[in-house]
Amino acid sequence: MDTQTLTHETSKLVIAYLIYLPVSIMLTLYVAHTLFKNGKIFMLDIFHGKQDIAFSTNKLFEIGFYLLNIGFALLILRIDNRIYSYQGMIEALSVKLGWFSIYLGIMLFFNLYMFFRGRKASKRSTNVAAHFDTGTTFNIQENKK
Amino acid sequence: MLLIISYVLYLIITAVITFYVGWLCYKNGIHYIQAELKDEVLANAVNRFLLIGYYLTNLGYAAIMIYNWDQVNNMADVINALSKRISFIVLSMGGMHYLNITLIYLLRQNNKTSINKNNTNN
Repeated sequence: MDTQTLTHETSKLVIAYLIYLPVSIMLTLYVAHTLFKNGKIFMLDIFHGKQDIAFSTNKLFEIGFYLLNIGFALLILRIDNRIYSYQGMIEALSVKLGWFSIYLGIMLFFNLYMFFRGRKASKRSTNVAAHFDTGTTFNIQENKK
Repeated sequence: MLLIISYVLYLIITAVITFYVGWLCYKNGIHYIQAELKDEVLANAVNRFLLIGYYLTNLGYAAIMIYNWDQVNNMADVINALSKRISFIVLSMGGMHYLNITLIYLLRQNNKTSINKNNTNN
């Protein structure tokens, strides 16, 4: 293979990477923004309205979400097969971005599930705390009935 | 030559990510430490120690990763190599971050149960 075609292939690969990177990062930013804008409401519920700790927990989970998803996007960036044409480039890109958005969707629903679980757990603990506050002896059997 | 360029880019990008994430965690983590310790001076000191420990760990890990890179011949290889190494760093940071959150959660849970036990004993 002569150097001319080789440089053409590499330049197509570089174009593909330069399309993939902004698209995947913008997708992550958008999903995280939507998820954690609404996550504040859950966090306020979980921490019984304590604003500072609720918002910082929200922020910490947002950081974790960014780290994991941008890390995954970078991890699957490599395109192994050679790209001879723009058709091949679009095919390779759509496969990558498709898998990445499926992964993002799974992460989104996993996070939502965790929010709902946290809310449930915090409600249960408020019931326990209420028992202690009123001075009644806490009895699991009694609670079950 | 390309390898040196990619090393420099790699170091700059990881340093920026490390410092930015460290600063964000430093700003947001103080509430947890204050909730646990009550004493503000001590809480600030602990927070700063945690930040320095985090920087040391992460920058050390980033420095160790400059070793055994793939051959770099053109621009595409540079992007490949950079994304691979940065993804390792970022994913391990994410893993440690979630581990930390889990540990704080378990610690709080532990404290709560011990407080409850004390209440019942009294």
